[in-house]
Amino acid sequence: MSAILHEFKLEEFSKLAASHEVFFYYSGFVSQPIIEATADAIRMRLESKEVRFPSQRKLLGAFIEMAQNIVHYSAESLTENEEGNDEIRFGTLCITSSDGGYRVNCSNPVSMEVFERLDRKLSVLSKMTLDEIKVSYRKALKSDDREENSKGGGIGLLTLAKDSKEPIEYAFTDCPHIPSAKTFHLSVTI
Amino acid sequence: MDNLILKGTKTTPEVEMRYDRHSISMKGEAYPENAVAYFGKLIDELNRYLAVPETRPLCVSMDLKYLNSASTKMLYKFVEALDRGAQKGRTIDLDWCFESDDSMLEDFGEDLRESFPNLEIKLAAYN
Repeated sequence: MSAILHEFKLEEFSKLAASHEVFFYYSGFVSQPIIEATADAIRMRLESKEVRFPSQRKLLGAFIEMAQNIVHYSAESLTENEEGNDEIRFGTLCITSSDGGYRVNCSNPVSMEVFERLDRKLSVLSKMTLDEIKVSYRKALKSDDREENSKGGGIGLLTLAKDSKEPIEYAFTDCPHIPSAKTFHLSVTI
Repeated sequence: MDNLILKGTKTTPEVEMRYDRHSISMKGEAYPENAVAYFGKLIDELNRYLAVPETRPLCVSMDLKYLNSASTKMLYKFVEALDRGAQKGRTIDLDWCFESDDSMLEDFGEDLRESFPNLEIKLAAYN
């Protein structure tokens, strides 16, 4: 056991995670059953910490929204399912404690096409005031046209932005192992 | 039409479309992987039911705990289908229940009430 810990530097990793107040971290393939099980575990942990119900709900909502975005849009997939069911795709989800609240982060590779669409949307969204976000959210909720390739109805990012205490933060970086993709990073505060 | 009864799961609500009693209820959480497919089927079913002439009122009760964004959008479309039924003259009541400190579901209920004046929507907070 100690040899394993040494070899994989697991203890070092755990200490580093603890020093950054990491509450939850997962990097790997994500599927709907994994989302359900982890959401349950996070909910129980928040209940045991007696986190207030509205914050619990917002945190879990942000987590589920981000995790489902990975399952729908990550460019690294184990499945080739066009129907949008039982998909398994790669991404990273991380929740950290921050200033009495929580920061929910995710990252995953996206195709250039998704990158361009997200970049366009987020450059506008990240500059909106909360009132503007709420107006856009209502408009998108009522709109009939679903975006092409949008499996979530196109209001996922607006929902995340609406529930975030601080403006939504995002970045795109080169994707080391898929040259034709970008890595998309997103962060909200609850 | 035969009643449609769906057991609840972790990610889909318990649904009872009891046509013999002219009542519909939904209870639970909704964040399925494919909300468009899940709610799409329910909306088709509802439209078939509303197409049959009926003078008795329809009572709808919704008690939902959590909705992901895609389910929120599809549920809006479900209520929109109810509103179209009411527009054609059917009396349709919708009881929208939510936990008293769940501002997201309260806001959504208020949005529904504003958007669909043909429905009798009552917001009911509980502890």
